[in-house]
Amino acid sequence: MSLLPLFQWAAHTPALAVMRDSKWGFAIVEMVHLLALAALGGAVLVVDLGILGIGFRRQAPGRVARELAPIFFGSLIAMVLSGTLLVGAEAMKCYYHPAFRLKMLLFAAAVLFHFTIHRSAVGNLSIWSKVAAVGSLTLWLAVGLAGRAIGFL
Amino acid sequence: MSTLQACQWLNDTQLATAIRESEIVFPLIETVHVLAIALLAGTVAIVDLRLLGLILKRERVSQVAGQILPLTWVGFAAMAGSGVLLFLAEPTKSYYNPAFRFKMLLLIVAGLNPLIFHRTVYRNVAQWDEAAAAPRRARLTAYLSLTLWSGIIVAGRAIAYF
Repeated sequence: MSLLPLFQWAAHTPALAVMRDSKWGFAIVEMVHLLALAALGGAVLVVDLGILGIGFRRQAPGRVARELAPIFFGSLIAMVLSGTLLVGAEAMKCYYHPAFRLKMLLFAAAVLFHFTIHRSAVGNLSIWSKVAAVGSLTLWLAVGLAGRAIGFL
Repeated sequence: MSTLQACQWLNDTQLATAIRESEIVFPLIETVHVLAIALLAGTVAIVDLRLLGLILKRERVSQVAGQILPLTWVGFAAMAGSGVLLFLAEPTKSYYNPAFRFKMLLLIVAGLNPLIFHRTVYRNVAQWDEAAAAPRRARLTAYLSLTLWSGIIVAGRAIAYF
């Protein structure tokens, strides 16, 4: 099944006309995307660096992760919603853009990793937890880098 | 020499020209500047939310701040370093940009806010270290900080639109 029809629909639907045609419509959603990036990135960094012994050294990573979960989930939802609108504004450009495709792959991998390997690594500390923390930091950083590349390439 | 003249002088330096005209260096610095937002503003927000009693309620305020703020400083160094280079690439353009001016103003206030906080209400942190929510003045600082840093991100993004 191809996603092309979905992107073609997004490129023409009147519902997304504001995103396509207004400079500030796009800008405001971009700002939301960045604000959510600060919150999401902060939560990921503090939990993973804590596992590596940087920052929250004296707190159990599992507890920190639980406490920061509302920030993580809240900002993740905000990122997906604002991101969907941004894609809607440039649907055809994104569909054919290698950096966009790579970002979506990496994002899916990062989310999957978070709910599987990372989750058990945080709750059950061992040497593998540190590997999982580095893996998580690498994946999320790669998502960010690929995202930035959409604008440049 | 006026600020504008200083900007014009900077504008014509070799370093400024090199950054401005490079197809790789400018986007690279910009990428650092965008992603380090998480390290700076993300960690600031975590300390602010602790002061408000919204997260990490059972951890001492001084422990949260003491362990997290060093990360914030690393983020600040990355942001300031990359930010200065980005400014250097287009000093005159930045000088006339209203969003840039507003961002600088917000940055000054955002810098003064913790300075005052650490010299006043935070001095007696021992008295409210274990309380879920900090005293009113500390909560005010936290709200102000969240608002200011959000404003800085928004104004920073707006620079490209003027």
